[in-house]
Amino acid sequence: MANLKFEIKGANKLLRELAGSSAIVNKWVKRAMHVNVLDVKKLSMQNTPVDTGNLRASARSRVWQNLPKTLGEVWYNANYAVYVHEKTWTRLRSGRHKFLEHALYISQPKIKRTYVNALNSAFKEAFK
Amino acid sequence: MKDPAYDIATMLVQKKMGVLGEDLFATGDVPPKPDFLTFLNVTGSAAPDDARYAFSYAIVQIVVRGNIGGYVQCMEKMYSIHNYVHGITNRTVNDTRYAFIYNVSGPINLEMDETMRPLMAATYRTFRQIPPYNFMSGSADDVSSTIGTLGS
Repeated sequence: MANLKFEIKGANKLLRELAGSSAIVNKWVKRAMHVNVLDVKKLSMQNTPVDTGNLRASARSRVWQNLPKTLGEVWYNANYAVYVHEKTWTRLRSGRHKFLEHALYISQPKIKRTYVNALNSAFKEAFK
Repeated sequence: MKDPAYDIATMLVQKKMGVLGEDLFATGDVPPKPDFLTFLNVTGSAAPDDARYAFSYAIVQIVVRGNIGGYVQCMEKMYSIHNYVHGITNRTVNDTRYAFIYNVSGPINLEMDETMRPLMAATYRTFRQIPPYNFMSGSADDVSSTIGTLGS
């Protein structure tokens, strides 16, 4: 039986570099999270039902890191937001129900793409 | 393929959690009577990630409305449905296979409707297998003929 041995030249160096580049990766992931959070917020605001404009104006977002996790949040401050969001059987004059959830689902392909681009940028910066 | 709301309603009927047309509705419309009922709405859907996986991701909202002053009963019903629906794996209903169903929001209390009946809602995402288009071996003509067959 043939005995094959493989060796990847520079593998140990690559692993050392990766371990040292976590700050760079975190920085780029945080940037990507900012882009995604603002994108979801923008899409949800476009679909928010408008009467006086209070609900749409109450959209908020934030991004923070609790390493190794990077977290993003989009929410609506208006105290009646949940009723507009969830009461799908009521009539609306504009916008749609589930405006926030819908924005998250339709932006998923873009979210994935943003993270891939961010990781590419991080590796380019780490190994330049 | 049928409406995802109808499929989940069928699962609830099989589990004896309601009778379709009496206290369980999957039409997206809410009848004024009876007070104590469950209804399901399809509230959105996400496109398949990749045609090869052959899954679509329909989102279904389940709402329970209680009798006047029957908040506890309404909550218990909502949680019994939630405990059953959340985490369903590999179920075939009405010739459609559901690989996975999981909870994305709720159960939340939507307070009272205009006639003081309590409302609770929860939303579920489904991994629903769509008919197998044979992309790997077929040509573009095969795909268009398959879609034509489904559409006719």
